[in-house]
Amino acid sequence: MLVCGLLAGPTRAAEPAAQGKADAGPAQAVREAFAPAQFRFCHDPGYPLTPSEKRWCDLGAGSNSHACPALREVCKHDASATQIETREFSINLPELNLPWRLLLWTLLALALVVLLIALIRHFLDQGPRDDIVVTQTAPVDDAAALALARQIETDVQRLLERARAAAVVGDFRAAMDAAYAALLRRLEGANVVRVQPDQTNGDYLRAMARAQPSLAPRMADVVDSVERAQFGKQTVSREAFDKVWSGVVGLLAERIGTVVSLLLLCLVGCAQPRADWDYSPSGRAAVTDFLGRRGFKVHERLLSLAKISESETDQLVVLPDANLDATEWAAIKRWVSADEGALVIAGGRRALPEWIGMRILTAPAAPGAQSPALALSDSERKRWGNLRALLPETNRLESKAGADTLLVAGQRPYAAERWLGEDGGAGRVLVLADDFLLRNASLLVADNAAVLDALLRDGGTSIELAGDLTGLVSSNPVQSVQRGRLGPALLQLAALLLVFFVAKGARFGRPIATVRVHRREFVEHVRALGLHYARARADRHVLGLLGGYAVERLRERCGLRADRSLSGLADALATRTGRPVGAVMRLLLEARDAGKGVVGESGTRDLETAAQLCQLLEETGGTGGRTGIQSHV
Amino acid sequence: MKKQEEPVDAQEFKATFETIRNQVERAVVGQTDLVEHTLIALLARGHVLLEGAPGLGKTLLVRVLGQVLACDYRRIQFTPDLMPSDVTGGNVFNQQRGAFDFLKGPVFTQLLLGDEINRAPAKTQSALLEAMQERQVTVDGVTRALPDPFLVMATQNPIESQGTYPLPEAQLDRFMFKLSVLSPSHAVEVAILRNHLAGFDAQSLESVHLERVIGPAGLVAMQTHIRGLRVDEGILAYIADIVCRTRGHRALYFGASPRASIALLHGAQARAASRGRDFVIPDDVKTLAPAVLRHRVGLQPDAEIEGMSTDDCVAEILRDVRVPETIAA
Repeated sequence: MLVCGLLAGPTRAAEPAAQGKADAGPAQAVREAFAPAQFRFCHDPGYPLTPSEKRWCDLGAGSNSHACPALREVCKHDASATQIETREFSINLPELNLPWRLLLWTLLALALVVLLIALIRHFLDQGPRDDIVVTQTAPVDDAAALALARQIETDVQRLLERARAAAVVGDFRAAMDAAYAALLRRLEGANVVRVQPDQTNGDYLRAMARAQPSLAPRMADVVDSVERAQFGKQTVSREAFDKVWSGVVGLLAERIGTVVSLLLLCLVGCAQPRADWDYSPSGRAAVTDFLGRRGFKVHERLLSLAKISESETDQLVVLPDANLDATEWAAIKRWVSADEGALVIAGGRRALPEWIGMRILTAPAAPGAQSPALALSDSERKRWGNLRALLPETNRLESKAGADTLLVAGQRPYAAERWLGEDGGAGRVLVLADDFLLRNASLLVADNAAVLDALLRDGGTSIELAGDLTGLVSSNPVQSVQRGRLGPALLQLAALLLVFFVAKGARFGRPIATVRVHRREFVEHVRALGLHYARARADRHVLGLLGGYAVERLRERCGLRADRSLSGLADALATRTGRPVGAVMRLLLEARDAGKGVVGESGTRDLETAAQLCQLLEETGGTGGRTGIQSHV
Repeated sequence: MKKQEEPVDAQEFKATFETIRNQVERAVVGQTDLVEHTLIALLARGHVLLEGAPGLGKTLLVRVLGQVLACDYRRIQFTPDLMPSDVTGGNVFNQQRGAFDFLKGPVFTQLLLGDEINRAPAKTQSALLEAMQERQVTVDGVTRALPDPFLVMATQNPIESQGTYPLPEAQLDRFMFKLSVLSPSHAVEVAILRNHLAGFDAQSLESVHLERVIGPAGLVAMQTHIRGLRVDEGILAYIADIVCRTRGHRALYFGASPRASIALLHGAQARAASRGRDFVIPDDVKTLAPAVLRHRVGLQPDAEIEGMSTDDCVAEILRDVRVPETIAA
């Protein structure tokens, strides 16, 4: 434990805040800073602490019940939480030399132009649709509208959040439905399933079995539980929901590995792993808010520190997780040396540049060792008032010549400042051995808040915090692509699009099946009509019609008048075709009987008669047209 | 025989069903869907119309079922000269007693295979009507009940239509499922050959050492069990929606009857029970809908010419009907 005693200079401490939200006293500013419910450790007695945060309890953080009422209870629990860290990843693509770069950029530009033209053409082709009728839907009550809105929610994260919220209020059925919907939407996004009104859960399961056979049994468990609730009307208990939830989140994590899913699982599950770092005791949200209330303007710097000289800020606070390269350090040196601003280095494991004139020793103290009491240097004792600071035991400073020690722990300095200017009056550099004074929990301990205020007050009111995000932001999209070294990847994507466009054309929106215009042949109509008659068991009727037609045609072809008897026609046909007279006569009689409605022997026999009539017509000069009756009877 | 008692719960039902299916599939290789649908029809007290080329194992399936379920089975080869009394039986004068004795026809069995049913004339086909629907036979004014369980499996050959008598719609409606018996794949064909090489003989099922899983009483108990399965209102609406849409479909000139709805409902219950559930889900309905509906609807000649089939129409209807509890918009 470090005990820092600071003497605040009365004139400086009494300076009113030049700018900021309000000129509140440190204690009041701390109270107001911790008032929002986002600082759960101050409002939720069940909030879990990490082991490192637990050390603030030993320093008496819990005793500040005005600012942080729940922390006393929080401190009574064991330190069981683990802080969730975001996973870092990087893509390193090969650097290309200039000719290749030019070529690829040209290709990219071409691809973009082609894509643009394709898009324009696509939208120009889409004229107004006059066949779309907008109908006024009947008014629906709120419950129906809500149900509809619930049905069509497609965002996975919102569905998961909805499930979690429903579970919190005890509506496990709704929670289960939302969780399952989230799973389906995620699978739809991964092109595993197609969420459509006609698809059953079994369809989704089979699609999953085809795409990811190893995950199908787990999904089957989820589907079984969901269907038991939906169609088995079983009451959904907390355990049933937890089973579905863990199955869904497990599948999501397996499928996409998103950190967000893991976070939500943690929130609903054991709730020990914790997120929202900024609002935790280790975060800095309260510090930022506190400083704002004390008249400072604090914001996080995202642009690279190489351009610090363009900044209007008074102080630059370099946090431990800031990742600075030599160029940035050089820029900072120029900026500080020119007395454009003050530099505050708040701990870190990095090696400081030589020009800083100080070194941070990160060797940990022996376990259980008592840290030496901090003392103020004699030169500073008159400058600062009686302020008392308490910090956990961590690093020490190694101060070189020219640095003024502000705080000492034992024989070693903890905080020191140095002036880079020749005259010793310009270019202030303040180095702290760690960043504990800039943690949320620190504000609740002793006079730490006032100490922080006093330390920064000398440097001006405008402060930029340089952290892990500093330098990661690009000022324009091209720079973003350049920094991410995504040029080759984008070019390949563009080339792929180009190939796709050349091969398939512009295919945007839902594919529409080509309309095939098929003109039916006459024989198809005849066949369709024949099928109708066959279905209606009207073969006798058909034979009658065909018989009438055939007899009439045969009379014409034989040159006989209509009043001649069938026997005369039979004689003529027998002579012409060489068939037996009796057979021809029998055929003509069957045709006549069918026309008169006489009941026949069978449908099969009627068909045979019809075929023979067609044959007769064929032999006597064709069937009378290009109808192909013969071949289709 | 392992079990004769009534299945106690859903899981035991499922286990029994699986055992029956596994035993049947020891002899009938590569016809998983056919076996499953036949068992579902049997459990739902339905009848099955099989359409497929000769030699695909239809007769074998009935014989194996009879052995595994310890049920009587008979086979009738339908021919143009088959008389109704050849199916139902008839009164024969007993000279010794001086009275007529009723000689039971082959329909008095538990599993009946009607081979090439469309080769017999309509009056013989209709002799099966009462038997299938009422589960009883009336001869000379005397009604005789058929044994329980009673399953008719009729076959027809889709290739030959010469000299056949297509089943009228009323007769077709009596069949719960119409199933297509597909030709085996290459791998299945090899498996069949391997079976025969190992000594399998379709004429002598003893060589397979089939296990008798359950008896008629147990089967009846299973049939009773499935009628008690829960069916949600949404499922009922889903079934009705599907069947009603067959009546107004542009490519169909007549749609399915309410008997189709009932068949779909009971089939879905049987399928649900076979999977160890005590409630029906939409997937049960959707899976069985083609088998239930394809023979109960009539295709417009125009649609037929365009190459559509009743299966296409049913699939189109299923695409149009909204599944209950779906999350899709």
